[in-house]
Amino acid sequence: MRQEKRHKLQLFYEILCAIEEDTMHNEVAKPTHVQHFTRLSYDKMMNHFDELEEKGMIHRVSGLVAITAKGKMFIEQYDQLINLIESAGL
Amino acid sequence: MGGHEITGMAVLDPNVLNPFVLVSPAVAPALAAAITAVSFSLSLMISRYFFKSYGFSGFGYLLGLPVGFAFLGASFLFEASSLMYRADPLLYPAFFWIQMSLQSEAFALIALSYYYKNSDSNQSGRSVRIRDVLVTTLPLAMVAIPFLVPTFTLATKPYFNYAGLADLSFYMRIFNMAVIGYIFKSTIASLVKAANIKLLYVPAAFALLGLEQYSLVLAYFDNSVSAFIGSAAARIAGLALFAYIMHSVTSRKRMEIEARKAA
Repeated sequence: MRQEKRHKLQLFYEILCAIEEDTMHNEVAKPTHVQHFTRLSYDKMMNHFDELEEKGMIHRVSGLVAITAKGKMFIEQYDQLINLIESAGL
Repeated sequence: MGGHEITGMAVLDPNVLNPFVLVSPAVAPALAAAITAVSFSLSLMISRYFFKSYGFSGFGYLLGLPVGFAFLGASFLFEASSLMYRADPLLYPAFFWIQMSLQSEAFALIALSYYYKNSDSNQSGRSVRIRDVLVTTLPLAMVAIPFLVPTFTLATKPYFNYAGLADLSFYMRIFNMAVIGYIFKSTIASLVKAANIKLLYVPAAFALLGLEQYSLVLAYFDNSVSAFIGSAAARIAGLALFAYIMHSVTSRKRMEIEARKAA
């Protein structure tokens, strides 16, 4: 089945949610777990990690990733955006 | 119906440009100030919610909503201003014309957001030439009509023809009703698609704004105070409902409750 192309914001959201989900059980998330959740190729995911780290939404420690307060805020804002768009019938 | 025949407006305003003049002159300024303050604040509140979302996401199709609601708020200010200057033969019709243009432009911009969102999601693999032309010209026409029609009327008859302006307001309100009808149809389509009864509030809010326009058309025909008061009530109810939805879906408390339910 053809997968619908995801918007960059949606990709960031899915990556951050996956990291947050994984860090509920451990302190940091494993990139392989995040890759499994987000269904992204490893290379693409690492590129997104670089971008998210640059924006201060995640930080990486010895190959593992953790979400920052800014990343959590992004998740909240994205949730608000989707709720707003859906409620407005858009 | 009452007061306007016995006021000085009967001479200036036989066709009633600003329906606030239908109300008793003793009450009209206070009523106009109250209705305008509430309508303006609600419009700006809604505009702010959408502007924040646009700023966060950068989704181009969202831009019509904040700008549209800001225009709608501004149109209410011009409506009140035209009442304040009702004795001025130049400013009264000028403010009325600005109000009409802004209001129609506002609804057209809001409709554009729905139009572009729908044309985005309905995009099929192969593009059709006629469809492309329609996609480009229809939104342009929708935005251009509310500005071009009154400007053309003023350019061809540079003096203010009150009866002509009142007739123009009738056509502009018909245009508004058609545009709101399109928005209503789009929101109902989303409601059916999502099968979520909570999404019924937005079409209801737009239906109330449509009812406001319809009541103003009735007021145009029979100078009825009750039709005008009904239009103001429908306007405030529609905007308040919209603002309430925007507030409730973005409030932290509601999202926490939903997250708890999902868990």
